[in-house]
Amino acid sequence: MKHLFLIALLFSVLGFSQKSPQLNDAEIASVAVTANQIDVDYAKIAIDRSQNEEVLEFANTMMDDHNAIIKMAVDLVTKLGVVPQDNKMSQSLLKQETETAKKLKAAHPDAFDKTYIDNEVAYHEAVINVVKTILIPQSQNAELKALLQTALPILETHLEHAKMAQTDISKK
Amino acid sequence: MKAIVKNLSLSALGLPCLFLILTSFTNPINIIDPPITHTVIISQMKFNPEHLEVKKGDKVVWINKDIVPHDVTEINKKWTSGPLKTGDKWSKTITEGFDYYCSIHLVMKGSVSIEK
Repeated sequence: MKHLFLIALLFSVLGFSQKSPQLNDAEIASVAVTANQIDVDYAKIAIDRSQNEEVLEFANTMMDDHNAIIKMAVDLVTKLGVVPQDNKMSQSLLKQETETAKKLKAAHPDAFDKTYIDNEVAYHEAVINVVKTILIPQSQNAELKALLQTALPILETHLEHAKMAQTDISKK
Repeated sequence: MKAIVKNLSLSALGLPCLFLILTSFTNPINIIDPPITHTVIISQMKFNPEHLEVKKGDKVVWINKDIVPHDVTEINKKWTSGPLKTGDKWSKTITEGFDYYCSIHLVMKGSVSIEK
């Protein structure tokens, strides 16, 4: 349910409720880097706050994988001479990050793991949806499109991993 | 004399042929395939192929072609390749079948079984 809210937020807050936003490649690059950096930031909070081994391993994987995607994106835009361009979608993601980071930092220690993993499930579902329905279809540059297509199975694997951790945490 | 030479010639030609024919049926070296090397490519967050059937003594090489690190870990953590970065390879001679997974991305799984 929460992921539906996140997806709706991405579209409705920005006035995209009726149709998909139109992004150019520089804006898509910005969204891609921002979305990955946000999950690195969430992982840093988890590594700082969680005592749960499964959560810590998951957070470390998020740090490594999303940093790898960011590096690939930065290498590509550098090669193409494209400067990532700020846009409403990147701004919306950052606004949502500020609110979520506050919740994560304020969560009671006993509730932190659940709060973090629930958000990871919701966040990955929302980002996968945006990558599939907006970023990949609208990419004009073939290499940028290929980068997003490479990132997609990584995000999908993260989602399955997060759901597995969510199930384990709910049993405790 | 001619008969002796003829017999010797036949023996010289016939015996090695007979030996080759017989050994081709009896020497086990000729009926057991030599070990071969199989390759599992790790890409798009999957082991390709996920399931591999090999002969005992064959070798399997895993090659990471993804942009993120992976590993090859026996399902009960009896052994692990350790982290494989992009382009890294790791191999194992197969003595028994096993299930394995990537301990970094727990949902990535594969198996190796021995041909019967």
